[in-house]
Amino acid sequence: MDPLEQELKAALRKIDPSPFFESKVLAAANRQARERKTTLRMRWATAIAAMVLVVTGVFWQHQRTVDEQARGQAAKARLMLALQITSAKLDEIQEKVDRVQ
Amino acid sequence: MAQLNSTTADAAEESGSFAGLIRTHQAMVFSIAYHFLRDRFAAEEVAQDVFLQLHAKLGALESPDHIRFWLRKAASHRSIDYARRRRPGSVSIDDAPELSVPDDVGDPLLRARLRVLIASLPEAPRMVMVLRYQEELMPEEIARVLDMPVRTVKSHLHRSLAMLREKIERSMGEVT
Repeated sequence: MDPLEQELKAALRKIDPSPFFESKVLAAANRQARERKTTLRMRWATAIAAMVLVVTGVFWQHQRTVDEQARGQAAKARLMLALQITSAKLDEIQEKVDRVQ
Repeated sequence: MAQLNSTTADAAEESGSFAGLIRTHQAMVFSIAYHFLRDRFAAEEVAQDVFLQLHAKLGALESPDHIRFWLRKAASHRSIDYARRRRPGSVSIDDAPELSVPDDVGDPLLRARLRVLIASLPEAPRMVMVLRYQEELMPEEIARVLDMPVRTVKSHLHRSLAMLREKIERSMGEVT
């Protein structure tokens, strides 16, 4: 190394940051770790909430279909009964008409 | 005292604690940023960012050598990025207050002049000079840190040294 390079080495020697640097970085690292944990927790909470919402939605939709089917079956049964009653009444009337003639 | 500090820091690094890593490497990281930016506050900001990034990816770094290499690389690239972001309306090199660097022997004025001249270099050759003379890295190592060809590193070193030599000789001529 020539004299200029020696001087350059001396000019660019390592220097320490302020005395509070280490504690500042440690505090910032703790803050960052806490923020990361909070973000992670928030993500989990959001994911769980979304899952609960989807499951509830699917269950509600299924329940609605089942209820509609049951209501349909009941209406069909009522209609069949009404048709049977009407048919019986018509048969009675037909018999009366036949007897009169 | 420096010896004692160094021993304590080595022990802390061996124990693997993050505080120990900061103690061991803070002078290196801060000095890379400071010699490049010549701004104490900016250098501390860059150094803090580098250590926070290290904290986030500590598990991915395998050995003390890997950590040292990673820190040099991160400090260099972050300092360059910081200088690029700061450029509009930045403080002139001559206006920036000089941080007092102890000059035990030799010519303190010459060293201060050298620091100003290095700060006047463009970004890439300036960082090459900092890594060569602060960190005493070989051109091949500098090339790995800065992701540039070894030929380019050697060319930056050669040209920067020639420029510094010429300017120093000229200013010495003016004094005598």
